[in-house]
Parts: sequence; structure tokens; C-alpha cells
Amino acid sequence: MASDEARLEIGCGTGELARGMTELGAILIRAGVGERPRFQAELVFEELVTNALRHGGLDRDHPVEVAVSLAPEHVMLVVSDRGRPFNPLEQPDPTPATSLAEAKVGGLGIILLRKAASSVAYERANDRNRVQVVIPRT
Amino acid sequence: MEMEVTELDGKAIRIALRGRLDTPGVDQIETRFSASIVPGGHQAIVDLSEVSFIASMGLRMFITVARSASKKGGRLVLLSPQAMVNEVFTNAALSDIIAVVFSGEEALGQLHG
Repeated sequence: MASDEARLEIGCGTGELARGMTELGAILIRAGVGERPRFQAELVFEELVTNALRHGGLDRDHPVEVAVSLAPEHVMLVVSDRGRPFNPLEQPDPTPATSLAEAKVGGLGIILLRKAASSVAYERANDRNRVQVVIPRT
Repeated sequence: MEMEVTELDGKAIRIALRGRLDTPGVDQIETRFSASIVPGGHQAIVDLSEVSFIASMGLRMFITVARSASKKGGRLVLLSPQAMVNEVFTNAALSDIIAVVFSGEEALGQLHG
């Protein structure tokens, strides 16, 4: 299969995230992406898009953009937004908790993102955050 | 996201979840899920066999509810997560702080143990 690309926009309105997720799922299924990489891609999408929507201070005119590229060996997601500068790679992994009392709920998304991807790269360019994530298809 | 609560004996309940524990899914059930467990200090077996997806919001819900429940003598046991969901639990080291089991007997053993 040749490299194939699709582009999604997710605004800050109610239902936008669910709509984007459904569209992503449909693109991946159409392209024959297996269950495991599809789960990983959806996980990456959820973590990065919710982050951008929650913390970016975006308004209605500036949706989060997600470019999906499909290659035989991998799925690549590029998530970009005009929100406040935020580099997920600079966030430290929380120390694993050994008890409920000390368990932290922040930072879990970053752990899951790192585990799902074979590479994650961040850049801030032209007033946009741009996170590029590669997910292996095997 | 669907949620069905069944009373078991004593303080034990079984909660079957069905759907996706992403942000929209968690938004739909979090209040009811917490209210079913925390105030009564219930011992809850949470059946995840029909949950096909989980992200950090779902983990956060389980940790928050398990912690609040434990202050009231309650407890959460997560039952039969699908393979990919269980891999997320492992990656986040969730199983170190909340019991994850794969049979009803094991779940009851955890509650009574």
C-alpha cells in the first residue's frame, strides 16, 4: 500500500472529540490497520487532542488539526494546534505508585503515549505546537 | 458507554461496563460510577470484558474512585479486561495499586481476602 494521508479537525465544542475519534477509527479500518495499532493510534489521538483542548486555551476558530499518514510499516499522526506552547516530552514520567494513597493521576497520558509510539517528536514553529508520533503496524 | 449495577451479597456489587473508556465515555458514566461505589463503601467487582478501549481518563476514574472508596472501607476489583486494555493497565502500573483479575472466583477472593 502506498502512503496515504487524511486530515481531521477537532474543535472545542461538545461532541467534537467523539466525532474525531469515530472518523479516525473509520480511516484506520478502511486502510486495513490491525486491531493493535488501531488501538495505539486512537490512544495517541485521545491523549494529545484532549491535552490540546484542555490546556491550549484554544477558541472556536482554532481547531486542533490531526494529519494521519499510513505507510506499510507504520501509522503516523501529526497533531498540531495554535495553543500555548506545550512539549509533552518535557513532562517527567510520574514515579510509579505503590499504594492508592500516593498514586498520581497526572502524567498518565504521557506514559501511555510513550509506550504506544516508536517515536515522538515535538516542535514549536509558526506559533503552533506540532507533535509527530509514529506507531508501528506490527 | 453503558453501566449496569447488580447487588451481590453484603456490601458487594458488580458493575458491568460496556463501551469505550475514553474522555466522552468517562464523562458519561463517572458520576454514576462513583456514586454507586463510594458513598456506600461498597466492594465493587467491575466487569471490563466488554470495554474495548481505555485511555488515561479511564485510569484516572478508576484510581480516583478506588482511593475515595478505600477511605470508606470500600474496594475496587477490575475483572477480565480485554488484552489491549490490560496492556494499558500494565503500562501505567495500575495493577500495582488496584487488583486486576480474570475470573469471578478470583474477584470474590480478592474482596473477601
